Amino acid sequence: MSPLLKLSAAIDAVLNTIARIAAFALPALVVVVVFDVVTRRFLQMGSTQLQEAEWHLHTILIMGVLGAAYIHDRHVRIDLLHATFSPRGKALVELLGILLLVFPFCAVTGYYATNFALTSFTRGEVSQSIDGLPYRWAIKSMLPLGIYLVALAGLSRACRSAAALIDPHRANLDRKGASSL
Amino acid sequence: MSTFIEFLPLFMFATMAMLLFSGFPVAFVLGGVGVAFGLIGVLTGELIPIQLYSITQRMWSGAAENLTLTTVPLFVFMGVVLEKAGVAKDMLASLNRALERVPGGLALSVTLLGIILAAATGIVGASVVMLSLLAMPVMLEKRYSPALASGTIAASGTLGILIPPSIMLVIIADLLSRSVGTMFMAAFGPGLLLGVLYLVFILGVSVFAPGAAPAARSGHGSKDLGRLIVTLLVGLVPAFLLIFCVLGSILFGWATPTESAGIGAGGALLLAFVVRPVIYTALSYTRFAIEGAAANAAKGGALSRFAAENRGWWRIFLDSIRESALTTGMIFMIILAATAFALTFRLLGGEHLVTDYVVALELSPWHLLAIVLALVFVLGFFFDWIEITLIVLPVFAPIMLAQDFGEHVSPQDLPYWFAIMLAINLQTSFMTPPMGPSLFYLKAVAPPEVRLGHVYRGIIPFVVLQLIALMLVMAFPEIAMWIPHAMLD
Repeated sequence: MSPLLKLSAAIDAVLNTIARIAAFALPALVVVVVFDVVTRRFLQMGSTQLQEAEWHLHTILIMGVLGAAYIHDRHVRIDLLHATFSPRGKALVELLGILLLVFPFCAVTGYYATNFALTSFTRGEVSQSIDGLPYRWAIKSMLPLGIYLVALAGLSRACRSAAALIDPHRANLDRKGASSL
Repeated sequence: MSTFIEFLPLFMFATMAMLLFSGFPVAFVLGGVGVAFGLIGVLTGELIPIQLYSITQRMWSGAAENLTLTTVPLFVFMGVVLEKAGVAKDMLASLNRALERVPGGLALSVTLLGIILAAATGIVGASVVMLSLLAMPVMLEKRYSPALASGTIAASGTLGILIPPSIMLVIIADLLSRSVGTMFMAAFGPGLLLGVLYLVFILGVSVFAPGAAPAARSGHGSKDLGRLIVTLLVGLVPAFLLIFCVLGSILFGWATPTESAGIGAGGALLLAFVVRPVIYTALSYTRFAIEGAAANAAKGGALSRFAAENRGWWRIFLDSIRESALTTGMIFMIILAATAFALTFRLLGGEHLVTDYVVALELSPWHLLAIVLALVFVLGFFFDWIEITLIVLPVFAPIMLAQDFGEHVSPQDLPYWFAIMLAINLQTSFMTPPMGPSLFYLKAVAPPEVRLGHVYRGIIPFVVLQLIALMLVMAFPEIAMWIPHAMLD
């Protein structure tokens, strides 16, 4: 295997592991919502912490899987022309797109998102309601994390695209047979 | 130079449109172009750097710290569980059993399943693919005309974006800052109307052109009344209860959308991993044993039968959460990127540009409505609803909602009426040859004997039904608004 594909596979393994862990936020979210509904409706025990836990789990889930969704090529494409490109043409589009669109997007939003989380950390921000959850910076740091994961996914697919430019058949850019986590 | 800056938003839109046709993921085109024009704005002095920071803040408050959108992963999860655990397949089988004697029974079952599962998948491609994989081979085997079969499947699968709990309506409501519950109520009437139109049409075809939808073999099969009843009870009742809980709790205002989505997902897990295996195991001791793993498996005790039926439940559970996670990742990447795009567009003055232009045209509200719907219709040939709602709605909604339709629609009802027409319009666009995405999804997974020509011919009557429904809702807003009025006033 070429070094490019090795690097790509290594990044994919990391992103997959993170996404598999983050995916458990989904059943956890179900449990929290059901518990919240039952206790509030039937035992009159409303809890701000539970309600905040709901969007915290939601945030962990979405930020944790952003990268994986890209390496598994789940994104919508307008493939009218794309479908007619040669494998090398597709690889070129992918490589240019990552260099010109994904990386700049991640650089700018990642920079500001890091500031966003750091500000929260230095202020020791907590929930605005008295009985909310502590450590608001912890959940806010999920945003930069999610953006870095997208950048990593971009790096992985950039390597794969470069490998596909050399030998389209071995790079498996369109993820045939590797579409689930 | 100043004209260049003034028209920066237009260049931004044009750049995005051109790059989209490269086939690079829509999400990253939106995000990349958004950020690039943000930087151009800073370089030309049009924006100050702190405004770029506000983009990140908006991404946070729009996608993460947002209880409304928590519904989205939950509804996706509910649908995926029902599908992966075989509940959807059971439902189709039981519906088909129940309607065996009715002409076109299988086609009717597919439509009913589409209506019921509309809830679940929400992504047009996913529901069309699922219905197609489940039903197309059976319909062809029963000698349905490929045209009717594909028309039914493509149309029923697309119905999901309108019928609540639809993920699209959640996102539209969020964008318009309106109540998700009311939006669902408003969608209920038109969704039902469309479902009924489909059913009547299929029934009509089956009665008057039996060649297209042959009646099931009469005589044997459903003679055993006991077995029929058991099949229905097992296959349909639990799933119906689940859907009823989700929709009912929203319609009657018992629960917030997040709560009912959580209950729906929890209920789906319960149904798939507890109720269904228990029922199957219990039935395997009676003469009503249902064909499948349990029936063929061990003759041993209760536990070993239960284990045989549920070998791999953990695998199914893992598959479900991972599949839902990837779909969620896809949706939210677009939401994050579209937020960056839409906010930059607005910061650069794009909204004013559009508003000024539209105001200068001095259109009547009805003309404007027609133009927006036509625009969305054309966009529907290329995009799924996620991109359309996230790109077009922020630009046109403020103008649209400022219109005065006089006696026809009150200002409070306008956002809901507009959203529902948008939904029906999008649905129609997805189904319209030659470019409807639903048709391509269907063709992609259908057996090779189904030609694109069949698909095109089969879908046309359904497109006509869609247009009828759209006109009706346009002419009589009460079709959408009577449930919200009845429930809320």
